[in-house]
Amino acid sequence: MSNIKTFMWSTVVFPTLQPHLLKKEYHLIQWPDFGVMEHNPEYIEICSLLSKGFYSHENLLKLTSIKKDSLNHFLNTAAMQSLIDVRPETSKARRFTKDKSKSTFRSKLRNLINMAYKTKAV
Amino acid sequence: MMYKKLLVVGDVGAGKSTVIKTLSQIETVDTDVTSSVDIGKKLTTVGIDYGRINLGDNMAIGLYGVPGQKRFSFVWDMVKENLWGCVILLNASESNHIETLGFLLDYFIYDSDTPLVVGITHADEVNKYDLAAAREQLQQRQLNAPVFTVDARKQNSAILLVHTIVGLNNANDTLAD
Repeated sequence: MSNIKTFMWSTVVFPTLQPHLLKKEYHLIQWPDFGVMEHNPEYIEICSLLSKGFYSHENLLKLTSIKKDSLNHFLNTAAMQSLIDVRPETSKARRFTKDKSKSTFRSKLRNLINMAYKTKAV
Repeated sequence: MMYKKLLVVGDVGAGKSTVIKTLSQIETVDTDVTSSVDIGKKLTTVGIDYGRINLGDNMAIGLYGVPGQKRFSFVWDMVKENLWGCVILLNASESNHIETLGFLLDYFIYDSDTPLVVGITHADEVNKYDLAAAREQLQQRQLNAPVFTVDARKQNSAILLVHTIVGLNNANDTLAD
């Protein structure tokens, strides 16, 4: 992977969603190699969701803690590198689960991961 | 007690034991022995490595490291059920690592919802290593899983692997239908 492609995952330089990506749903067709480049840890959450199906911009913001600028940059970069498939936004509303036991487990794991990122030795 | 099982399986010398030691919050239990052939290190795992991530309030993740060679398939049967996640670690310097990936996928990933990450180690020892062959193995099985170049000795890599398993589990849990 070239330096510019690697650089794109570690910063936010395209905070405005490109016109051809507006009012669309997105699906990840190939994961970036996050093993070889610095990246926003929230991109892992975004890629995980998008690898399972199509999600709208609004849904991605609701389901993760990513900021809008970072999400826009992610989608712009992924589209530029042909890593996502895009289709028009559908009106069908998605339902999401809220299982309390899973939420507790998930939040404990999220805390652990956050702590690991803060204390990691590079 | 909420107990989840994370499997780390793969090539000799790929770094399974190292990843488990990095992630575990308890002293790991291992079955390392001195290797009888030159594999680039003194010790190799012949059974199960076991570690654990404690999350408090009766919640924990068990870390199971098992060798990827077919002759250890009797061990695979003991750990393959109800996986919370599967990390396949492959040593890029092993000429048959893509073949190994193929049979490990066929054995462990019979459900495309099983959170899976493939980690390629020792890629720096191979001239211009390309992830395409590993990705092709996944595509042939309609699996949309990540393939990461990792260094098992680095904490960053271990965090990346487990974070991705967490993310994929969250994504599964999020979907209602």
